[in-house]
This record gives sequence, C-alpha cells and structure tokens, in this order.
Amino acid sequence: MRRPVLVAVAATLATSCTLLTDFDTSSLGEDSDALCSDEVDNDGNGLTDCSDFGCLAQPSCCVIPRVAIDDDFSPACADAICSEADPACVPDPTVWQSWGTPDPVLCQGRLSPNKIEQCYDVGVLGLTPLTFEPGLVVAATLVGIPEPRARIEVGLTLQDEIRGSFDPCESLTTAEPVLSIRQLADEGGGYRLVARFDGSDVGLSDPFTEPSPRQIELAIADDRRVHYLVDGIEFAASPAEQPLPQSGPVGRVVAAGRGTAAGIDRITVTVGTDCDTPALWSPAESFMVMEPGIAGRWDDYSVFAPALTERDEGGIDLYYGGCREKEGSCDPLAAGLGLAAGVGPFEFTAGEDCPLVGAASIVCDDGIKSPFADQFDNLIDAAPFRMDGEMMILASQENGGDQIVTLRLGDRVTALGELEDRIRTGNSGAWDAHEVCCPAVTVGDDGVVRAWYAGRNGANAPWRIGLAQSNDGIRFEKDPNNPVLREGSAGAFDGDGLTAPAVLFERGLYRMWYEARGFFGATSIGYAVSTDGVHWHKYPDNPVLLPDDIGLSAVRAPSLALIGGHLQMVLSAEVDAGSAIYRLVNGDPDADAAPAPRGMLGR
Amino acid sequence: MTARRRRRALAVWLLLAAACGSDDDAAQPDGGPGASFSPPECQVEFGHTLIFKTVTLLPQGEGVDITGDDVPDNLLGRIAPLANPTIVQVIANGTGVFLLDFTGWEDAPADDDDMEVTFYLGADSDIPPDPSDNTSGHGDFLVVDRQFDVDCNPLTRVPTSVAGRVARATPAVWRFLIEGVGTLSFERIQLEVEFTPDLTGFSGQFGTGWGMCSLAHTEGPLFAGATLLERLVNDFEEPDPDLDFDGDGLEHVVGDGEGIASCIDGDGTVIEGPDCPCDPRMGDAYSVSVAVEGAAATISGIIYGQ
Repeated sequence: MRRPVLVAVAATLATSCTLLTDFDTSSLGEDSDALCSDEVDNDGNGLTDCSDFGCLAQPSCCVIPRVAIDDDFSPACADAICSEADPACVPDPTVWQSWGTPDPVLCQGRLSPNKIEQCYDVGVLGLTPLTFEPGLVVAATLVGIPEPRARIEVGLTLQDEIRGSFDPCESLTTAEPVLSIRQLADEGGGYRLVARFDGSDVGLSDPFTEPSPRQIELAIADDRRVHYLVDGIEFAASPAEQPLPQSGPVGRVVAAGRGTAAGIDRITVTVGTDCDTPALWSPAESFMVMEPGIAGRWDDYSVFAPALTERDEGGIDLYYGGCREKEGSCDPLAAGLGLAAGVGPFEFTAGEDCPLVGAASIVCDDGIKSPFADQFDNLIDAAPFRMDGEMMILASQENGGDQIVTLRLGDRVTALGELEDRIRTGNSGAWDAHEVCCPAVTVGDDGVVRAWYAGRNGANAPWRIGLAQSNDGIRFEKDPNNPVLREGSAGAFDGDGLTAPAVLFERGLYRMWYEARGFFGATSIGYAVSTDGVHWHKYPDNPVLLPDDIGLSAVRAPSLALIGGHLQMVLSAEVDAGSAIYRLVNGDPDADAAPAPRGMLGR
Repeated sequence: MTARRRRRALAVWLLLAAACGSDDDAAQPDGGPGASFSPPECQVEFGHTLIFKTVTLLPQGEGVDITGDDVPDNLLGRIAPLANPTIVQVIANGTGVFLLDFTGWEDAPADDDDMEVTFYLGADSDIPPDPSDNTSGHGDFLVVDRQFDVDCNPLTRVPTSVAGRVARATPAVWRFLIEGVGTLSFERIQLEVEFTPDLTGFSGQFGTGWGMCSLAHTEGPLFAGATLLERLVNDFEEPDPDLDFDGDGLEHVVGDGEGIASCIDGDGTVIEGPDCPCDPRMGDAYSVSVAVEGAAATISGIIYGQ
C-alpha cells in the first residue's frame, strides 16, 4: 500500500517548504553566470537567477550602476520660476563648474541655460574626471521644447575647464563636446535629437512634439562604439570603423545650451556596474548624522528610530524619535516624533523646537501642536509613505504597544481610521498578541500598501515580523501567513528575535534589513529577500552588520535609502548617554562621494 | 596727451573699426563639420530700413544733454579727431554697415507713437561685396543671425515714436552686437533723427552713456589682448567716467599701465581686481554724442552661422 508513503513524502515536502522560508539552505545550484540568467530556479529554493544569493557575484547580476554623478538639480530651487531666475539658484559648485553670461540657473526643478542670445553656449562642466571606457553612460532627462534657435547639448568633453565671458554675445566657442546628444528645434514646432561624434552628426532621432520629460543616454559599449538612446531606444551609433581608442581618454561630462524653454531635469553618469553586496557596509564619511539636541530641547537625551523620507521636490528628510532623560533612560512622558530637514545629501537639521507629535508635557516655544491623544502613547517609531501625493506615517511606540496608527501630516498631525482598521495586537495566543511595533512600508505600483511590523506574544517572547496590507494606507488586513519571518535557532544571531524591519522593493525583489536580537540582547543587522513579501529567505552569511564592525555598541532600527542604485543605511546606536543616529554606505565606500538627491527609501 | 598715447588711442579705434567687419572670430555654424541637421531659420519681417552714411563723434563740448543740466555730455568727444576718420573709412569700405530698421510704422510718414526701431549690423548682400552702393539709397544687406534671440526676436529692438518726421527713442539700455568686438551696452540713449520728406534719408544725433562693464569687455583678438576700457584708462589723462548713473558720486578706475588694477566706487569703496568694472556697484558711464546721417536701404535676409 503506497498511500501512507505518499502522505509521508508530502508531509516532508511541506515541512521543507516551511523551512525554506526561514533558512536558505540551498544556494548550491545557482552559482554560475549561465544558471543565473536562465530564468529558472535551478536549486528550487524559490529564488530565481539574480534573486538568488548564489548569483550575487555573477556578472549577469552585477548590474548596479556605479554612479559618478547624479544630480537632479532640484532640491533647493524647485519653486524658482525660470523667467524670474533666482541668482542664488545655481548648480552645485562641488559637482559642477558653471560658465557663461548669464549664468545657467536652477529653476522649476531643472537646469536651464536661461540665455536668450543666440551666442555662445552657457552650461556646466562636471568636476569628476571620467575615462572613456566601456560602461561609461551619460544619461540626462530633457524637458521642454527649445525655441527655434535654442539648443541643449549633453555629452563628454576633453576640456577640464570652460570659460565664458561677462559679455553674453562675445564671439567664442565654449563647450566642445567630443561625444554628445544635441536637442534642436525642428520645423514642425517640436524638436529632434542629434547624435554627435567627434564634431560630426552621426544620427538623428524622430521628431518629438511634446515637452514632457525624455531620457537621453549616451553609452560606450564593449565594442568601444558610442550608442545614442532616447527613452531606452537606440537612435544612432558612432561609426563602426571609428571605435574609441583602447586607452580611453579622460574627459568630463558637459551640459551646455542656450534658450529658456527647455532644460535638463537630471544628469546621471555611471561608470560601469557593481555587484549587490548586502553584507558590505562601512561608516559614511560623516558617520553620525544626528546627535541628541542641545540641552533643554525635547530630544536632548536620545534620538533613535530613524526613518528616511523623500521630499516632493527632491532631497531626503529624516523622521526620528527623541526624548529627554529620566533616571538614565528615555522619559516616556517626554518623548516625541521629530522631523529633521535634509539640508544636503544626508545632512539633517532638526529645525523645529517642537516635535511633530509628542508628549503633552513637552514644553517648547510654540507648545505641542499635536500632543499624543489619550489613546495613543509615544507614537515615535515612524514609517513615512506617500499615498496619492499625501505624506502619511505609520507609527507605533518604539518599544511596542497595542496598535500601529496611520497619521496624516499637516498643520496638525491627525490619526486616521477606526480602531478595527489598524494593525493591532492579535487575539490571545496569536504570535503578536502581546504587542506590535516598528513598521516598515512600501507602496506598490498597484497602490497596495504593504506594512511589515514586529510583534510578539509575551513580554519576554521573541519579536517576529508580520505583514499587513492595505489599499488606502488606513485599513489594514494581516496576512494569513504571519509571522512571515521568525527568529533563528537558539544561539543564532537572531535567535532571540527580530524587529524594526526596513524594506525596499527593487528589481522585482523585496529586500529587508532588520534589527536582530541574539544572545544576551546582542544586536546586529540581518538581511532577507522575498519575491512576494510573504515568503522570505534569510541571507546565508547573516548578520550583515555587527556593532563591532563599525565601532558601536549596538545597532538598532535600520532605515535604508537606495540612491543612484547604491544603498545607504541609517540606524540608531547608543552613545555615552542616550543614543544617536549614524549612516553607513554599502559597497565601495567611494560611492559615498556621489551626490544623493533622489532614490528609493525603505522603512 | 602725449604722442605715444595718441598713437595708442588711434590704434584702439582702428582696431575697433576693423573688428566691426571681421568674421574671423565669429561663432561656429550649428552642427559643425559634417552637420546634417540645423534648426529652423528665423522668419523676420523687416520695416523701413536706413543705413548710416556718416557717424561722427561730436567734439567735446558739443552734443546731447544726457544729464539734463543743459550742458552737452560728450566725454569721449576728446577722441573725435582720431576716431572720425577711421569711422568714415569703415563705412566707405563696407566693413561697418550700421542699419536702423523702423517697424510698426504702417502709416508712414504719419505720426506714430507705437513703433519700434532695431539696430542691425549688416553685411553686403552683393557677391562679391561692393561697398560703392551701400549708402546710395539702394543698398541691399543681410543681417547676422546672432542679432536675434533664440525665439527670433531682434536683440536690439526698442520702442520709438515719430512726430513730424522726427523719430525719438530713449531706451534705458540699448545693446549692440558687433561681430569680433562683442556687445556694446549703451545706457540712457537719447536718439533723435529727422527723416527727409520722402523718408529716404535722415539726420540727427544721439547721446548715451557707454557703460564701464561694456567697455571692459569690448575686446577681441584684434585688440591685441586688451579691452577698450583698458586702453581708455591707461592711455588717457582724466580717464574716469563722467555720468554718475548710480547716484553715489563719480567712480574712478585705476589702471596699472596695461590693464585694470582696481575701481573706486563713488562712495569711496575700493574694489580690487581686473573684473571690478563689472561689479554691480560700478554703475557709471562715459558720455558720448554722435551725429548721424542716413540713407534708405533694404534688408533682404539673415545670414546664419557667421
């Protein structure tokens, strides 16, 4: 009789499937470039090709652009009107050398030549030297339709300095790109793109009649030819008989032009690609990005639980929890949720004297506009997200509470939804029956808000991570597979639980970093991936970050940003008294040199 | 003035005049070598055009009262004896084709207070160039594309009016592009010319302040690396501007024998460095008054990429 055997096999398979969600035991089979690009889950672990940890170092999966320059020209001057250009709104002098009269300006979120004369081009020259080698890609987003005799040109030049003149119409040639794409008006009222190579036109795009943003790209391929693309489609290539020299010259990116109607929304220069290295973290050049506030402020003892968020106009802000001290720890009756404005790439200034929301006992100049309501205490662990253009926050108590609340930001912070809509502690006996906290949010292209949160079923039980989903960011439903990520085995780095997840969705993969709790409360950062947000695979070489690695005593509550393809992490850690917020960069530490205007954020 | 200074001043004007007709240093054509695509050409309607037959710097002490004190303002008139022969020469040989184009004068010669006048630097349309007919009343000329903005509007167009065949224009600033020299920026121009009854000619005067920054960047290879202001400051006695346009007292420019060393604002503030003439605090200008005569002309098109 075979049926019992079949049942036993099925039971074994079911068990192993459960195990697979907790421990990635089989990265053995998917470990060559061929197997990592065949669209087959060769080792049957639920992760295909580049999603599989075994493929991380394979060439076909090393596709993270190595960013040399990434500037969206917007953060400081998005509101500046081009016709009334603010002379203070100029390109970042640490990235660009500007030339010409009038100066090119930043306005309406873009770089504009702002020059009406049909005379020499004005523009910007990148300060970063670039070798003309395969893998070099110059991408720019053009917006607007140029006037009949205007133009925009983006490319590479061998010049290391460009001079203009006080005279807007002096007879001089400024930028001399050797490889470029030029935007010129055409007879039909639109424009065309002209591919240029070594001073000659080598191709012409179809006409475009809409002013909407259009991505142009100039890429040096392995055959040392230059390929010219618009919106991802090649419209020209340099002559096959004229490959770039083997020993590539060194030049710089240049953006030049004249006119006022068209401009450049963004320029990104990449110089090859990197592999995904989820375990390679190092302190950023400015390691501590936020310390407790000055004495007397509401956050003068501790700042913690950081959460990065992107502003509409570009730039990154930081939500954080803060508190005053009481008997050597945070005073729960004097804690709040603060917002620190980004004043530069990962430079934050806690401007307001009052927290966004906080304990009613906090005394500050304006008084607390949004004290914790009676039913909510210490909503200071925040996961910001944007729904229909509106900034919202999913917030919990830092150390756990009975619910996670959606807050709407505005003049006053208000709680949304009814009690039954919220992520609350589970019923008696449930994995999250005792308390929930520390959410992380993604908003999918399908509009679904996915919130991962930590929960546990007793004061001394290990934290686990569950998933709840919502279509409006207010009414959540827990996933029946909860918890979707559990603690590791006894003695493992996360054997005592895992909490404070940060999640990014990238290239079809959910990526989670989380605070792991180990023996005697030792903290570290763990990493896991999932294709559906439900079934997670822990990184086999966890933990990806230990406090000792970076000279800290603990690492807590990570928040991630993906900037120009490169990961950045902020987390909180204890200092002499209280805690502060630190920043780490992933992969090559030199990536920290790239400016960081926009990206993907996870918390 | 020493003989040496006179020679240098003359050289300045020779260079200026010669540069007017030069295209050696002109902008590169769009597209460059091998270009296969060019933007659309400007469609411009020209009006009633006249060419300057004569341009004469008036002697110092004569000219237009720019400041309103009933005294002619014409500091640069001191170089009239040196400059005028050169100006005559460049007009005669066709290297200096200065055109005024009156537009919006539909009911000419009737009075009209809603017109515009545009200055163009022209080029002879004859092939090969024949300057002999330039000021005959039948001259035909082309104008250079760079005298239009990117939207094809003339850069040097200002409002004017005509009453009793006398045209007057008083723009706050009027900039003239002179190929090979740069942009000449004139401030508070007072232009007054009277047309002949048949509108085929005019005569009149204009007075203006020539801004220091403009003078400081009136340059080109033909100036042998110098600017007009550098020459004025280093080659003339009492070289300071005479028009206190910014109202804080007359400014002073200090030369070092070759270039500009510093500037002193009207309030006494010293601004160091060769770029000081373009400091926003330096708002004064040199007065100049000119007598002009003109003849009818035609503009038949635009030259691109010159």
